[in-house]
Amino acid sequence: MKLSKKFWLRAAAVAFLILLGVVMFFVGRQHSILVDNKTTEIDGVSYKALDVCEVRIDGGDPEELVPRDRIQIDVMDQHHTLVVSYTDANWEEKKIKVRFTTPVKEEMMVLSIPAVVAGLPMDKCLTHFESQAVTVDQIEQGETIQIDETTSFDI
Amino acid sequence: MTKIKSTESFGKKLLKLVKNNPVPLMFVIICVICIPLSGYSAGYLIGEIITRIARNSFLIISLLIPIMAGMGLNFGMTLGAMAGEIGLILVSDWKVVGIPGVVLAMIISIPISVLLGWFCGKILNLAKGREMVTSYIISYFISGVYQLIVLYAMGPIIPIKHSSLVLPRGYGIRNTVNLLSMRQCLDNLLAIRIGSVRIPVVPFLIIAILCFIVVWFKKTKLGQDMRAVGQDMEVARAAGIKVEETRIMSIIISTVLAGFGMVIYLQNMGTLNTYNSHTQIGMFCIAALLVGGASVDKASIGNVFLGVILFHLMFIVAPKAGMNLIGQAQLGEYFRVFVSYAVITVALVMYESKKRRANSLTGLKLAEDQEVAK
Repeated sequence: MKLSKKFWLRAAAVAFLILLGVVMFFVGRQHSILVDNKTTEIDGVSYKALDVCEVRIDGGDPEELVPRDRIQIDVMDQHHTLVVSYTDANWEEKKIKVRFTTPVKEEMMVLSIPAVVAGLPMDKCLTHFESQAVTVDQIEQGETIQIDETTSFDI
Repeated sequence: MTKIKSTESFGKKLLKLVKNNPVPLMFVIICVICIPLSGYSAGYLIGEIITRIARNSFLIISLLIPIMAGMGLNFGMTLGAMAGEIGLILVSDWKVVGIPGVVLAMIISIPISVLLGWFCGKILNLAKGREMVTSYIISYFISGVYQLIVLYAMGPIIPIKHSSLVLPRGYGIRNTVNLLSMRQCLDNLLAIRIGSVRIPVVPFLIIAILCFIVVWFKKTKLGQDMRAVGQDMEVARAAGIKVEETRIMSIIISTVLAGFGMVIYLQNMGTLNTYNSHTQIGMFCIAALLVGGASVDKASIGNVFLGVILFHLMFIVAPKAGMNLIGQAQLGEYFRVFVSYAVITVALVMYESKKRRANSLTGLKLAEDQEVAK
């Protein structure tokens, strides 16, 4: 059976839209990165928090961190660049630039700055984060759904 | 002598203009009265109007194609709006933000819009001559199905994992969906500022492209078929045009465009009212188009822009004018609802009376011709 030109054009249009949708999903996927400056222990080795440092992800606004600080930075896409500026024990200004990838599935991850500065591989520095806290949303009692001018019900 | 002649012709022309454009002229008069009463500056009004043109025009342009195909004002555009909303809910849950989120929501809305448009077109083919009231009722029917899906299927059947979207009971979508992650992302891209007025270049570019597509579409084979079907279905059928298929196609195109338009509209608003956002959108878009001078069987791109400007200008100035006049800002809200319904009613009555007048004139002419033949 010979398929018409119209069929192939339509199939190409559908394929293009699916492809565009997939690209948009990967490009626009948002990840929250919790940038952490706490003393951490990885594989039995302790990495001390930096006294003060400045971090910047993907050329965004620089954020200053002191020990025990944790900030959230929202990023798009999966490929990122982290720049950490700090002063080491010898009072020398240091700047570290690392590239890292966030898996598409991960929504929130913790990035340990002491581990990055110590030169550990990114899979050790960047770990999955699961929020255990009960949010206000979860303890909320209910909501009134108004479906039109005359009908509403409590859920 | 010549002077008197030219005065008469000017008077006739003016009368014809008033007779042909009563609704736009009425709105011009309302706006001219309300603008000084509101006390708003020209800069503020221009800024507001530009924002509303960028926000609403796409939705209103989606109404042009069914009018071209003789199917009247497509109240079924609400179906496309619902498809756009489903796209936005899913994209919000998947955490796809910014312009990619807007594009993805549009892409998701396409198959849903096509399916709903096809369904609507099939039913409208069974109700020829009563398309408007049928599409109006279909929009209520599909709204019920939409509510069922969003309230019960989203969660257990369609996975939604974020607690910010899901109702506290564990399934169904909350009353409002926050679209802050994509709020005005199109409007802010390449936006320019002239004085105090911000011009959202990208939405205007998108609208301009759509206008060109509509103009080009009218010249295509399908566009010509639609015009032929709109003028006379039987003649079109005799000419070999697949009338039913053409009508369905016009509704599908309109529904898909309405889905895109709703995404553009909601990204500008920054919040989605899950159960109500779509309910009034068809009514206001149709009212705006009619205010711009369109009728049930004739509408142009010019009508779209004139309609948005006049209709929304009235919405902006009426509350403040009402406040300054009688101390009640609610006047504007009353105006909004009252005028929308009134304009649609007036347009429908005028269309019907025009049609009857044309029919009776044709009858008289036929009778005259028969007399002459005798």
